[in-house]
Amino acid sequence: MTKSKLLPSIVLGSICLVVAALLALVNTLTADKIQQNNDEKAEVALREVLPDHSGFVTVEIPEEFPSSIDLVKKSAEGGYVFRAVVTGKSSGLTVMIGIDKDGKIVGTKCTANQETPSYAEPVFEKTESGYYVGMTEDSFTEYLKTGSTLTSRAYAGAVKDALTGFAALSGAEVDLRTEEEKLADSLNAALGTEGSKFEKWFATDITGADAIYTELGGEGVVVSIKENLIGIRNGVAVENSTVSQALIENALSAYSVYKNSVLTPVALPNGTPSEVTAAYVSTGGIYVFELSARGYGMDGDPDYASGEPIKIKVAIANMSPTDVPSAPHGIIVSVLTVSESENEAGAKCSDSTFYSQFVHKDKDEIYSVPDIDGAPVTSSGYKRALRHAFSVFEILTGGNA
Amino acid sequence: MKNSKLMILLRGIIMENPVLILVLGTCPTLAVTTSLKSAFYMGIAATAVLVCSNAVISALRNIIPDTVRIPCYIVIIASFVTVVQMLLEAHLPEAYEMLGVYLALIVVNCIILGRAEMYARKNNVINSILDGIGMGLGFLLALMLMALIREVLGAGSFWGYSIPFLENYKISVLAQAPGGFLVFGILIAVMNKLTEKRGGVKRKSFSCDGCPSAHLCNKTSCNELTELAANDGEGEVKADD
Repeated sequence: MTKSKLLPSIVLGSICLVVAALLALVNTLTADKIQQNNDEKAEVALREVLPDHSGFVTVEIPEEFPSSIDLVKKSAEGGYVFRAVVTGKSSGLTVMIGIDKDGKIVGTKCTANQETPSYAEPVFEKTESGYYVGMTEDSFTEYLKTGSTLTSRAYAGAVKDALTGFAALSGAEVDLRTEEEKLADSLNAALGTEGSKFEKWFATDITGADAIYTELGGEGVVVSIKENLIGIRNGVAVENSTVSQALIENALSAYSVYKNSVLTPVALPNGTPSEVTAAYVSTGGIYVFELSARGYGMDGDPDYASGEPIKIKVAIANMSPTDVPSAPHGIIVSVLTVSESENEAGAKCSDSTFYSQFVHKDKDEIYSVPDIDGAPVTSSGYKRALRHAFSVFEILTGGNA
Repeated sequence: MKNSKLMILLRGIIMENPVLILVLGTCPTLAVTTSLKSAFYMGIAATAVLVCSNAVISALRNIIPDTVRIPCYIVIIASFVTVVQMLLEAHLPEAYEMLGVYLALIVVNCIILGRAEMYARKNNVINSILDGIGMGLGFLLALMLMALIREVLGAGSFWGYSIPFLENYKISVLAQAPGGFLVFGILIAVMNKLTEKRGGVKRKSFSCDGCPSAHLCNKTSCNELTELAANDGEGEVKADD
């Protein structure tokens, strides 16, 4: 490599090194003062989120504790103030939560954030005018689901962690696992394994089970029926004394359907909308469609839209009476958002809490599913693609679209 | 010599005011001029970054190869912005809170990179520092002027203190984005008028072939106009009316 090619790299690298040293020096000089300022701000916030309390002392955080909590103060009156640092749109969203000795939220306040102002300001306005006041750990869980932006969901997560932390400090046994971790542990317990990862089977046949989970990198399958998990390996149910024989037989039957389910490609009829990109039929006669929905990524502001569609997979079963075959009545059996490149609000379409609402809906009922807050283009594009899937389904099953 | 140093300093304040004449840095101009305090802090922070980055870039102008000059400039500017951020967070937390995300956005402020590219890399350190001070002061004054109008008339307050007799007559739109653009446009027009007689900023002359408005314009050619103007003894090229 000639000198002329090396020189730019050397100069740029040297400048970066010097700059890094300068920043390290300034950081060292200012870190203590910044921490002192943050602590003073926290003191002020303490009294805002837990007024009429005094004599705050710092409490040592136990090992088994929500990881977002980095400071806990206890008042002489038995109340607690928790400081949680969570990630919304950006990292560093710092929330102070005051909880009284009865476990009720007294106040919440955001003391630092780098969120998008237009999304964050309505959240802070709502939360700091008493939105969470009076809630306990039991009543709070329900409200967590109404968060509609990254900021509001992160804020709700911080408050939830504070309530969990309070329960832990009060001596209750707390489960710090996420929902995904709890499910994974339950599935492993059902199969008699440890540390295995599972994937939910995209149901292409009606099995009678609520869900089937396949072990990644293994042969195990766990069938979920009415909140019971039955592990099956090589066609034999794993011993489980808590489950009735009838349920085990149902699980084996569902397993058999799963194992024999084969998808056969189907030619798309002429005039198929462009949103429907592929069709298959399963052994059980269920139609599976691959869709490319035109959401915000395709039809949003050209300056911000990604140009990419929402990829969806949907399985539709024919629930029409057998004596009226020309009037197919499609019902969604499964739906999955495979990928999306939507904006911040529209990204919720990849959340199972959104798309699972379409299960068991027909072509008209899909419009009763509420739109994603702040994402009308994503929501309408999603529903339109599903509607097109129903149209193609009706043609393929001999009805009129 | 002294006069030319003074000219470098003063040029950025009026004749080549970065905000009102060169129309650079409009993002923070519109964002932070809802109050005098935030405009003041932004002006000071940007001036500090401008002076330091101009000095360093000028000092390194013979060392930085052309192929990596922009990345080097960005690294240098970003480092000074980070230093200012840390210093404000430590010693002026009120200013840090007030400026919020716009403090970090000084990195991509066109004034800073523009002066580095147009001036600092071609001139010595002293002149570059003076240019930085001049441009920074011009930026600060423009922000303060806009903030004065928007806060007094739009919010009925001055430096955060409410003005009793104006509170009931405030023009709220001035505190919002449309009002910001309105005030900005009016100030640019006023500034253009004030600097008109002094010749204004030298504009590049080019033939009608390269002019996007050629099909709308009835003039023969901009070059001919330039010659006419020169023969009239005005000396400077003026933009078409």
